[in-house]
Amino acid sequence: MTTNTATASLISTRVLVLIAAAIVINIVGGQINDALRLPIFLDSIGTVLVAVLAGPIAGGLAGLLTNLIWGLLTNPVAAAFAPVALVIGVVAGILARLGWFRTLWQAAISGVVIAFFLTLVAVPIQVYLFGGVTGAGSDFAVAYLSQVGQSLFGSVALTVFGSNIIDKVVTALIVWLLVRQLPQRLVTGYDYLKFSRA
Amino acid sequence: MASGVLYSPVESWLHRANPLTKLCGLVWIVSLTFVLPPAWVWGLVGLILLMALALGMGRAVLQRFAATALPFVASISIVQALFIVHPDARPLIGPLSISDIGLAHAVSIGGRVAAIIAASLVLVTSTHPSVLLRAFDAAGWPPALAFLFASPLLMIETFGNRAKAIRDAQATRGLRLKGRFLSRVKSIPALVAPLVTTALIEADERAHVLAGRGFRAHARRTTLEPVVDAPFERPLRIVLLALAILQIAVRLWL
Amino acid sequence: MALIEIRGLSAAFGNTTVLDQLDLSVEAGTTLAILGGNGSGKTTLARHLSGWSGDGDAVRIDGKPLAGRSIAERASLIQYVGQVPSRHLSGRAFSVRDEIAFGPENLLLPRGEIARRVEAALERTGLTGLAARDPFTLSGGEQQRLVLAAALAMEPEILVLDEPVSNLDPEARGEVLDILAELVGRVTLVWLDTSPELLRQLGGRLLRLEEGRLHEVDPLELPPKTDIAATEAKLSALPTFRAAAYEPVPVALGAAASPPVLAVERLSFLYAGAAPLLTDLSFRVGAGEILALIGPNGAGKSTLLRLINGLLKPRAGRIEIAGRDTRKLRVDELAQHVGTVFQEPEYQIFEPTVRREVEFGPRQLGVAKAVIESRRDAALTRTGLVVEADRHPLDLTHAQQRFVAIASVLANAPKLLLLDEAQRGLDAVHTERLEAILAAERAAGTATVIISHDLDFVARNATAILDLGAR
Repeated sequence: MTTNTATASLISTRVLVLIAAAIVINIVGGQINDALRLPIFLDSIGTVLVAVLAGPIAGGLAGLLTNLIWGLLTNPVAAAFAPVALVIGVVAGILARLGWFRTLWQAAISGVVIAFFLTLVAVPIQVYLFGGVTGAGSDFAVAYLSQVGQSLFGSVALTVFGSNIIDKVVTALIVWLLVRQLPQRLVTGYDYLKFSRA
Repeated sequence: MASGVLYSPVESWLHRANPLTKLCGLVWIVSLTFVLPPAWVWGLVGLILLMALALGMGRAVLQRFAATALPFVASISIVQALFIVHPDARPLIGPLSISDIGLAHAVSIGGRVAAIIAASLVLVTSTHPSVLLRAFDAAGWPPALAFLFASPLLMIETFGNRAKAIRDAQATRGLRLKGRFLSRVKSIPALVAPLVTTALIEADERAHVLAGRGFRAHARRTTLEPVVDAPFERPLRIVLLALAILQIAVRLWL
Repeated sequence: MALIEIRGLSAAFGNTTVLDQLDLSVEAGTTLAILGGNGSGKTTLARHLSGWSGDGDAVRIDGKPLAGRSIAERASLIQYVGQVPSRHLSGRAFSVRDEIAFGPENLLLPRGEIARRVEAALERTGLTGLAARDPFTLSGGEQQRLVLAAALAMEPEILVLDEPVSNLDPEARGEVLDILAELVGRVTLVWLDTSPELLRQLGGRLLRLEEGRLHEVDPLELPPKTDIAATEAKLSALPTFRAAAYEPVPVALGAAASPPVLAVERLSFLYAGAAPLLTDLSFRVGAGEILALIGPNGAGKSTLLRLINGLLKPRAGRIEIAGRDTRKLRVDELAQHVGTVFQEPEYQIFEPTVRREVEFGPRQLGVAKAVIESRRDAALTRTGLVVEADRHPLDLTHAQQRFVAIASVLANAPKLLLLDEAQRGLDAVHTERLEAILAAERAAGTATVIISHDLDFVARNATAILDLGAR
């Protein structure tokens, strides 16, 4: 592409615009989830999509900014979890680079791996910054698990991983499906795609 | 006006202040909540909310504060005081026990989160995003950063409407959105794919349009209506940031 | 030396040649109109010309290829205005004024100069009164004027216009055309379009883009201007009924249709918190009839269409399709009887091939496999998409994408067909194809309701008119 030659920068203008759109897709994905009354979130489709198309840096940025903007629009608590969203994008980007978005099974396993790493980051934030709760429905699970003898750390970890694993697997599968099916004229110029197309 | 933005258009000194100064103030308050005793932090929450009231944006701030901070405080009180088994736990009713250590935790963490939420809300409610953008430009921040902040805010409504239009179009082709669980999961691609493909078409076109308008032609950009700093604002920002660093240092070393 | 020099420009999409050793030279200050059908390569040419595609030196502007110039230099040289105005907004400005200032600000121009350019562009495009509005809440026509204003604020030497009005209604078209007419002679204009009628309005040199090359056009070989008197005569011969939002319609349109495919009885509708949009509206559409809904923006045409396909439910009165009350069926159940072709095909396309996209509807309706296949093949044949069946729908031209949407509706074999501006942006060949489909559906006993701002199209195809704009 010729347009971006004049300023050499880490992220091309095209990827920049894609990240902006991905942030909105994350937010609107949550609305689609509500419309379908599904018990998951669907709020990181954009992040994983950018990670697969443009790599871990772009993916991480999309995740990070999604939560900061969420913090601005609805609940400042979301902003504190921005590092978690960042990790989703970075891990997805690395998995894509390693070729783990090529087949259905690989994508599903990638979803599990993403859920694992996001838990690693989310738990310390939730435990040390927020005393184990977030003010959302999943706090009931934390309360129950603590009561039946789990440590707070264990309760939060189980809750976060449990509530994310299906969502991240579904998200990874949707992105896998989308990326496999994208029309020719839309995918030229996304360097990372070659790692995910068999 | 982009949908969902909390900005409330009233006249006040806080509205006129440079958004960067307000950001520094927020950083200072966040660091303050880590050094003040819990009772003082709760006092700070009251102070911030009173200031919002006095400046004429009480309604907007209080409503959102009630919707975000109260559930959190309630949740942390119940989980910390009643459910987590602390060493000093005394049996209450049934399987529940009550703990003073837990209660103290709840008061401390709850206060800190409430203060940060209140301060963030005051910042967001008194700052129009476009003014923040101008402050970024005036401070010489990279144009790409301001774009990533502004563009999603502007497009949420457009994408939301588009998601509805896609839902409508697929329904009139026979897609059932309220079927069984599995069929609802299967219908995700029909709803998400057009959203993604149209976004990619737009990203391609908009990237060219931006370059055509000279976006990132230089490492910084100018602004037609710059944010005016009051004479004391620059030094104030430095003082606030210095205090914040000092407070964090105190917290880490003591 | 000419301002634009193109020598031997070639471009291909997949295995298809789009531009084939194309040559062009344009002197500064001229107005150039390039006529080309849907898919003739207009957009490809416009993108190469504006430096959006290609980085060779086939295209030279002012003696140098664009690829060798800085972003700032290019921006002051050439600006591109496209078909879909919302995609040409920066997505970074919260007001019309900020949007126009965005470009000059990027170039680090002095503040006084930016202010002068912004005011001049606002004035020239008639947007002064809208300067504080959020660009994304403007109408399509206002957005296109804003895109023009933002382009003009860069004070470019060349303005490339790629079907700049094909997505706009006639009123907005007129406003944009007036702005463009003012620019003739001041800026080098390159306008690419499907409609000779539009291209004639600005005058200037006329070329035709065909088989990848440009050819001179003899004005005499162009189709004659549409005969306005003949259109009006045809329109006034059609049974026409007028409905106003504030009074009941006295006449029952299509009363003779028995049994009607679509029966609207004493329908009233309003959006929450707004004034009544439709009041006590009654009409019928029988088998083989084509009813055209006309009227200005905001008269309720699209709302009425959404009431008929069940996306909205009546406030009062009832709508029956082949005897079924729309209030008692879900939208996806009504899909067996009503097919809707919306304005934006890209909002429904999600399958990787045209074939699967067309099969989607009948699959949802639980039709038998053999029937799905025969309906699909028939729909592909009628829409001229047989050759494209294995391609990705979004790799096709805009016109072909429209026909993908039409084919996916035909595959549902509806008794009632709803078309929202389906003719918009189609060239003569594709318009003819659409009209052949309408005629065949009519002969087969399908009832059709169309929304169209194009009165020629209405005059040629409708059997009755419902004017929702009578005030």
